[in-house]
Amino acid sequence: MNMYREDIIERSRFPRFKREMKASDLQGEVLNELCGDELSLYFLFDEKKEHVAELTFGGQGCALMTAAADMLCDHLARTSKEELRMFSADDMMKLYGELPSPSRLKCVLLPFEALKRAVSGL
Amino acid sequence: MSSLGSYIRKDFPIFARNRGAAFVYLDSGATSLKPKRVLDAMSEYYESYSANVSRGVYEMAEKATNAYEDAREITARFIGGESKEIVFVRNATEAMNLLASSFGGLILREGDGVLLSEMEHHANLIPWQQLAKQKKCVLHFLPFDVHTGELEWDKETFSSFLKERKIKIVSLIHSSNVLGTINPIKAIAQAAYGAGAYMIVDGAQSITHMPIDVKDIGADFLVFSGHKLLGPTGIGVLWGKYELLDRMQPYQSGGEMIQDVNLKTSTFVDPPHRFEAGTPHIAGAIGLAEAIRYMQEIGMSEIRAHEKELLAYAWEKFSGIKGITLFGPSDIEKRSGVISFMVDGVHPHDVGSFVAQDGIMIRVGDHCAKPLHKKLGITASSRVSVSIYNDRDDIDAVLLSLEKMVSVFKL
Repeated sequence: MNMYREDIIERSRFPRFKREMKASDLQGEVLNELCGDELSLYFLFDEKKEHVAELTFGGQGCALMTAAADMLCDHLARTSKEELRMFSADDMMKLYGELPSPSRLKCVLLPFEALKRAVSGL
Repeated sequence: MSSLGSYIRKDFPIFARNRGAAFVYLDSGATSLKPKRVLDAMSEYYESYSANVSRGVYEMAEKATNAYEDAREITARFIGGESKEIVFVRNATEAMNLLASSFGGLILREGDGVLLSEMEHHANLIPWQQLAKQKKCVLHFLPFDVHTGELEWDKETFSSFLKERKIKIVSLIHSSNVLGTINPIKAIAQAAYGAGAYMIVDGAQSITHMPIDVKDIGADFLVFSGHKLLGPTGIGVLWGKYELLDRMQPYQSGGEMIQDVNLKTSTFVDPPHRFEAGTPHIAGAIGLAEAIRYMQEIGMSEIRAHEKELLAYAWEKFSGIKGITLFGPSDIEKRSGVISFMVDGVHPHDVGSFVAQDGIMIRVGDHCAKPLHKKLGITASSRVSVSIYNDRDDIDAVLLSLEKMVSVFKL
């Protein structure tokens, strides 16, 4: 198992969707009690408030969490609210690809936890 | 060169079991590996005389009782105490909870102070927080210098510092599980004694790395866990001055600790059994005693010398890696057991997972010392800890892996 694939390293070093939003339509925050890291997802919806117009993340975390958050923001851009609700932990794991060791799975699933928190407010 | 390190790995079955793959264990600060004779001593108890202690009148029960009480005697001699001053508990955490409850409960009045430090393990913090809430006491903290990793205290004014704050108990970590700092416990204990305060020492990290004599330190209590001392998990030690133990109420109650029982009232036996309610971890105590014998045969001074040499080597090599920040004293005389560090641009959990892919086991996280990390301005760190079975090749392995990591992360 190689937990530090080239694409994971690249995503973590140069995340494309890492930026905090001051005025978002929806936000989801989580804390990883394993390491004390925090992650926030920020959503902006389109005019009809039906589809994601912009999805970004903020916070400090490990390479796995940063890469997973960046993938998630990439993947869910322009999806509907219904699709956000339907997105599952399995979907997150499939999106990520080869998973890390069990002790680090939490890091990969943290962005999904933030998503769940956010959609519970929809 | 020392006769420890790779020379004694044959005593630890785990190395042979993991032969064929990289196996570099640098996490003894979390728990140590176990020599075969410790496991054999425990198996011997379970296989040939596994009776309960204290009550049996048949020969096997007497043998079990003798082995359990011998373990107490061996533990007592190891730290320069007396057998009746050794209470077997689950671990250092339980010992500290016992002290906060039974000793803190006895000594502290509303408005009194307890002095801890900013570098405490949570085991020597949360029990006092809980007690302070209950008894309306005030917690005070000795700060540490983030650059030197040393406690900031003034010997000259310490007594008045304690008196002004009505501090009745000083409870400090002997050797930091993050910074590695060996605190000047003896000097602090003397000053505390002068101010009429009691001194508790958390020896969880220090006990396995250096000779400790409770009379020399001048403490009132010392706590430690067996599993960091090459012994089994689930057994720990509370040592306390007998006259203090004797004034304390039980922490838990039930069987084994009573003198007489009526339906509505009971009386309790003397220490140490007063604090050992229920069937104790008999095999654990026997295993711990065997671990202590093993370490004594090697010699605690020999162990300290070996680890100091290893720490000095690691410190020098780590210092040479670009982007690494090391924490704690650079003077090896002032440190033991652990070296904690940060790598610029790589999260500690990634450091831990990366080297783990090379078969290297280190610890990452807050090491149960969140306030310490907050003071350092970080949430987590990476930690290498050494024991008697480690050698320079282990340090070289982690360095090689870290260098590879720096290249993969393109730092």
